[in-house]
Amino acid sequence: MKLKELTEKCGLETVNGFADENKEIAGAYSSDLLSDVIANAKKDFVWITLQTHLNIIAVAALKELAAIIIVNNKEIDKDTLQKAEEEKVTLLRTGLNTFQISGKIYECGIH
Amino acid sequence: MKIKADIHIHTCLSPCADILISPKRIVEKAFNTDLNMIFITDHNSLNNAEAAIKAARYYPSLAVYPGMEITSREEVHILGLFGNMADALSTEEVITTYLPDAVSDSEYREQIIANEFDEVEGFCLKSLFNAVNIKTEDIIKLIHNNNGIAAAAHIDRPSFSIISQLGFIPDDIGFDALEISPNLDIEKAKEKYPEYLGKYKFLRGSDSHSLNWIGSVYTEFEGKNNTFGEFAQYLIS
Repeated sequence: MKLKELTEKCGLETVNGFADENKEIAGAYSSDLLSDVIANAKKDFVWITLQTHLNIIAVAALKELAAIIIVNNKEIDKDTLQKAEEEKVTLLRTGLNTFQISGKIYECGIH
Repeated sequence: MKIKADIHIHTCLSPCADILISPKRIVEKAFNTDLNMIFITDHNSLNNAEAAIKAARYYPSLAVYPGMEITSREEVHILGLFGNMADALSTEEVITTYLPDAVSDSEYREQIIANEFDEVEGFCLKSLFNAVNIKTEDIIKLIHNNNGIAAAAHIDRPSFSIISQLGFIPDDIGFDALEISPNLDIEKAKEKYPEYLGKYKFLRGSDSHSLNWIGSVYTEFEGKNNTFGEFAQYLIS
């Protein structure tokens, strides 16, 4: 499934537009420990987290993730947004919590 | 002379610490294990620091300073170390406003406030193990604004460390030093974290939660009067 289609199906908010809306999603990973994401997320995954710290952008860039999905409608710091622009990392957001959005994404066929 | 300093000791105020690790006993144990300097670093609170400072007045070879192990929004543990109670209290004042109240009797009864004579004075009614909703960088700034030293706590631990929570230490985050847990020694830390060598000093702290940990590990530096100023000087040397 392409990133844009997932965004529409799950009702995700686009925070900074798409770096590549046609990116084919390879999988998903839910975690709030960045060390764990570095160890376990894979290229072209979407990453579901409540962390909004600047370092999430570096982790997404390092792991070449398709997008970061911020849960619980968390406010995102200015410096995080700015870094996302620089690194061309797509930020998406939802009012759902990690469990709920993970279930929705799973239902979309991403396992 | 060589100063032996333990920068990370909890008291019975911390909900996760042993009930017997009172300010007075900490001071006695620190003296008996030949430490010259200790920092009392409970989670997000200073309630037992002054009791330890008072208990130490009979031990001139031991300097006791106030500190806190502050939990940031990202659940990173940050050691704030201070040269006097006034600076520490100004920091605590801000931290306290972000802490929720303890939710149950059983929770606050784990947070014992003791005096320098080993007597229970009361309980802390804030929920000390909670995170403070301030980002890591801003907690470091708060510590610096109050003339304190900010050290990343136990960077090698798999939980509540800057590396476990944020993956790596951002370049301009502002830490004055990095603490390693008792599981590592300085040489091993240098091998494990070459990327932070040259940028930070590695410090050893016992992270004592029980009396028998005190004296097990410490930071050593050269000094004359075991003062906070000498310790701060060592960090930038």
